[in-house]
Amino acid sequence: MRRIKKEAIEKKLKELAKDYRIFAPMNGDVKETGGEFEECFPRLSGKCAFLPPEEEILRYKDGKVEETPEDKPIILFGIKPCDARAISLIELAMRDEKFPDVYFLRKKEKGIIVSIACKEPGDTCFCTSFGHGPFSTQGSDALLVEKDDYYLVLGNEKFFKLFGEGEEAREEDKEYFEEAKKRAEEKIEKIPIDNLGEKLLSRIEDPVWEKISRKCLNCGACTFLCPTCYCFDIQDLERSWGVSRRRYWDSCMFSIYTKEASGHNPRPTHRERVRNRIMHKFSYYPYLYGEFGCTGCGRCVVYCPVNFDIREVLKILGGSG
Amino acid sequence: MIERIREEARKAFEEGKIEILIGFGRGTLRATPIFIEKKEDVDKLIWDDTCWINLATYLRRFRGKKTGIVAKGCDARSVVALIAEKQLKREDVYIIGVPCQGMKNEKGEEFLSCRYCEYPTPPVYDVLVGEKREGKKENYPDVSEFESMPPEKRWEFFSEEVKKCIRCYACREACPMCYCEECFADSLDPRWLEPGLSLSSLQFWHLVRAYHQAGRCSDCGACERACPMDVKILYLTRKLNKEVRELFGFVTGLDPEALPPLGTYSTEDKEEFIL
Amino acid sequence: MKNPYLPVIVKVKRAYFESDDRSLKTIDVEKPEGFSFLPGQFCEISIFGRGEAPFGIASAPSEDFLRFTINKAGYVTTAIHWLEEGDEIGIRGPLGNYYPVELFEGKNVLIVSGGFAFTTLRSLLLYLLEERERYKNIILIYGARRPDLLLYREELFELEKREDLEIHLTVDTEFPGWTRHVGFVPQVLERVNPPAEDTYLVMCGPPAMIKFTLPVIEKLGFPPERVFTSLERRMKCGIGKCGRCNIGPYYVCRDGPVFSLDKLRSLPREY
Repeated sequence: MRRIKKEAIEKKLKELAKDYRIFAPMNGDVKETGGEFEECFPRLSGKCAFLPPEEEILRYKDGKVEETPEDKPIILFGIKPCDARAISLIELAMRDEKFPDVYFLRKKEKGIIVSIACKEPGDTCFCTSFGHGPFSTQGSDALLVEKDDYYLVLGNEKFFKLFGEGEEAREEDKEYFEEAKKRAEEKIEKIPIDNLGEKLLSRIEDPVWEKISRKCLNCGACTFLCPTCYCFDIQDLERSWGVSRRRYWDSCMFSIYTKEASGHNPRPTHRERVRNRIMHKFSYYPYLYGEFGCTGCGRCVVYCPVNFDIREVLKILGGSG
Repeated sequence: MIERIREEARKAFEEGKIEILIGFGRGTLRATPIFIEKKEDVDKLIWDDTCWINLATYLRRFRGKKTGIVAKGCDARSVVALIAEKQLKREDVYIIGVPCQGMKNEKGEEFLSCRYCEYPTPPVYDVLVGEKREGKKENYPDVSEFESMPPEKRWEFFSEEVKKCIRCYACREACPMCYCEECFADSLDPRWLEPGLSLSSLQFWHLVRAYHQAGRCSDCGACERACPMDVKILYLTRKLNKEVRELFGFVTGLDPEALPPLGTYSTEDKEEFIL
Repeated sequence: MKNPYLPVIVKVKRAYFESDDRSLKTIDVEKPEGFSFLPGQFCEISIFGRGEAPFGIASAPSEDFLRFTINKAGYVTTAIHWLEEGDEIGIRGPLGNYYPVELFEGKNVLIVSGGFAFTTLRSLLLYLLEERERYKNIILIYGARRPDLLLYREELFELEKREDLEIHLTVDTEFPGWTRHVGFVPQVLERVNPPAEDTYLVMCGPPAMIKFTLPVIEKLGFPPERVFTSLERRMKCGIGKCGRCNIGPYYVCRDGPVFSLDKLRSLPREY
């Protein structure tokens, strides 16, 4: 553990804005800033840095296909540990020997993620359910903990090379870290998730899905704000110079998501769509990649217009609610 | 009032008037929609000032079944508007009307459409569970304020607001009148607007959606309340409702037999904007 | 890292309508350098400015062109129908998995198909015929609503003459000049009554045909692990990234589109 003066980090961040694109929470959402950031729990999560809502994937110009050129590397700064974890979860799906998603992976490889530990979690958080928590380092190149006018830092080489090493942390710093971590973790609800993947699979045709999904409006609010959701649509845009093929955030909640040109829709009602989303995050993801596709950030609970609460739903489906 | 709602719901099940009832129950953060199929469950119904969703948006899912709905003023007007557009049959809907005290957000502030609400009491109902409440007199001070701004300032305000939008379509799905099988925003042929978050696409989306609500919208405000990004959109629909009232003398949702003004033609229609 | 989103540009060599009502069009395109595939795989065809859509490869791996047959149904397929000889398109592929031809060696192969789902089965049929001695009996049962909706029928009429191949073509109802079977595919399958022993069944057809053929397959005694089908889905990326074509944990574009019936039975009924 090291300790670095807050001032020093903030100053360095502004300097780095010359050669890096800085994404940080500002005015309640993560967006591209010139090095400024606000300590808050952002509404739009950090995934927009590595998987933007609109991204060009190729150009067709003068009869030839051109790859979109790479931009400056990214520093994603000041997000919460749950969001940093979420980006490493998305990476599990994007990393593929046969078909790597080059755009996401290139950005991720050259980028740096710095998270700030959560000393005051919210009442809708349930991140500790997945074995990590408000002081998790998974997915971050550095975890910062605020202490007076210093940051206590758990970081890797990549981070220290850019931001400097500061000084060795003192005993009292380490104690403070442990205290704050324990206090924060105690405030968070732990949802029972043992064998959840298998339990859900065994209940896949259960009538309980109809009851649970009834109130869902099938808007896209939860998916767009979710830090681990990565589904996208691809469309061509005609321009005067040629064609720009872009990918856009899409949502499995939309009724037309799987609708085929013939009109047939394999997921015709809210029941199938809600079931698919929950199964994908809590059953298929662990089956394919060994981790749940959720970090327990609670955004879907806070922003759902009809108060569809995934915590309640998981308790019911897991058989303990 | 909660007791009366539960009592009327129980009676409606006992008398075979409904097969399923849409109402509000206790959620983890606020009131949440619940769907009751047995009279024993009516005790789950609640009523408070967090019941701000428009439940009429669920009615089309249960077409063919006798559906009950616990409706405040604006919800009931949406039900009537749906009946007027032949989306529902009057005899299939059982309206338990609730004279509404106004809804508040999580900070305890009253919603804009409640502050200026003209019809807190459902104008059409099967049973009313409380004393009728008076609404404000016809009154669009928020719209007048917007109208008093010069055109460039209005366009700037509108553009700054829609820039926050992420096109999650929560507004569209929360709205009972947005029931098109294919929304114009998703149409590829013709492709009315491009996907993504360019300013012109966002402006187009919000303006045209507001226009599609003219004469159909009951000012329930569910669209703005559902938006996770706090985009203001009510002023657009309310302005159009004000215009519809001035041009056609029509208020949405008061009469299930009345034809929607933009769906019919009458020789008395005003023509000043052409002639 | 090779970028899997970039298509290769190829020219259209031939473009012609298959059906009298012009709903089905076949395009034969140049095969890109080094393109090698097995029957059952598909390509994502790009019409720049309109979009991309997935189509099964109908040509055999040994042919020097790639063949696709497209039904005009939506935005991209309409644009594909405008293509003529000499036009350029983009293709990405081969994508998806293939029919398990290794398992078929030394066994009987029964191919059952309906309508324009026959595309990848032409590839399979021709592939098997190239090394005919590796397989035992090969039977094809293929039906459509009308004779002009049968794909590649001139070629099939020629193949009918072969002694080492059994072909049963059928149309739904009587048609002037049609002298072969009349009846739906499941009915003809029952009539032909092929033995299930030592036989692999490959089936591709519209949902309605599959629904009524499955009970016949069961009746004839085909075990689910020897029945294969190719699924269709709305696809965008075609490489298992965009998330939309999944059935359970499997992506139809990456882990399919060929699935055995017993694998499908373990998945949610979303097709």
